[in-house]
Amino acid sequence: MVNPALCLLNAVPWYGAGYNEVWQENEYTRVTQILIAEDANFSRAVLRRMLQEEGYDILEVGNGKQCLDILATESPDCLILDLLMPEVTGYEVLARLAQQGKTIPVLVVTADVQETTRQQCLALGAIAVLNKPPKPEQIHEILQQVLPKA
Amino acid sequence: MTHSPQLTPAQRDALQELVNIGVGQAAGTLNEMVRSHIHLQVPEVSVLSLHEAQTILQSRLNSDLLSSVRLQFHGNFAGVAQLIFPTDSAAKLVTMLTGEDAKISELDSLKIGTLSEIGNILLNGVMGTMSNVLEQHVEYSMPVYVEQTVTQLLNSSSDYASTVILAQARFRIEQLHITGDIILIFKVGSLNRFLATLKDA
Repeated sequence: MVNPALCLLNAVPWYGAGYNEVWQENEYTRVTQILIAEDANFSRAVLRRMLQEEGYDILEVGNGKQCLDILATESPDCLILDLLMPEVTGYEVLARLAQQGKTIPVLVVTADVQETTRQQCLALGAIAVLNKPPKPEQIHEILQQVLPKA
Repeated sequence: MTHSPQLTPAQRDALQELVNIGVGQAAGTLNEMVRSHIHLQVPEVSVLSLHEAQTILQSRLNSDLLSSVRLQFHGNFAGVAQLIFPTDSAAKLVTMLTGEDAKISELDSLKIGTLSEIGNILLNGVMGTMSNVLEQHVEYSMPVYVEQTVTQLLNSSSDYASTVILAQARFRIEQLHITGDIILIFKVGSLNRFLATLKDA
């Protein structure tokens, strides 16, 4: 796992969309960038703190439209997506990404505990669905499975 | 507690247990968030007129102004779920979760945002668990936070029904002296569908 302190201390050059590279212990380690799409400040702050403690670089948006806009220009390694958001919902984001053929791993984090909702998200291409508030170890385990190895 | 002829003993038992399971799920979530034990009372479930519900809630909640998060649901059955706190309990909860003093007026947006999301999580826990048990999917609207009296609280739900299922589940966070109630109100017509689903479950 990347040491977040090193990320802060280094002048981090960009080497391709979505990746920072940091000199660490004589090798380049890529800082993984995660986009959080969540309209509730409270849950966004919880996720941000959780992920920053693990050393991830964070992008944040407050609704599904902003999420699609930023994905048109940026290429984060993973998207953490809420479902019930204004303007464009998480379901619509999943559907649009599938239409566009985007392969970014999407982890849905939702308050909706219904099994049907979980199945619907997986059918739309989400890699996993977690219920709010997610536990750090749940997020960590899923990210470890889907993110590119450093 | 007012007894309604619309609920058979079996329906009352099933509904009470469903609410119990749902609120238990929500309490587990709240426990993880505040890291304090959540004391639950056995939920009381009744089918009442809005007026009866208002009288009962007025006496139960014993507070002029209430903080309430409303989550509308629709699907095979529809209505509104509400998480209600006395305003001082709501402020304490926000302070506990964010570290900010929610009694300071400039922090209204913080208080509203935080309570809306907490309500969203807890009410989804209740409704989603019930939905899973009954195998009936429901859709949700965005949660809305309001501060109002009991009268206003039920009047704002009057477009839903003259008859409500009043499921009162009280929880208490012992160390923080925070109490809250969860109320479910079902739309006319949808109430009967819901009761029929209970029969099938």
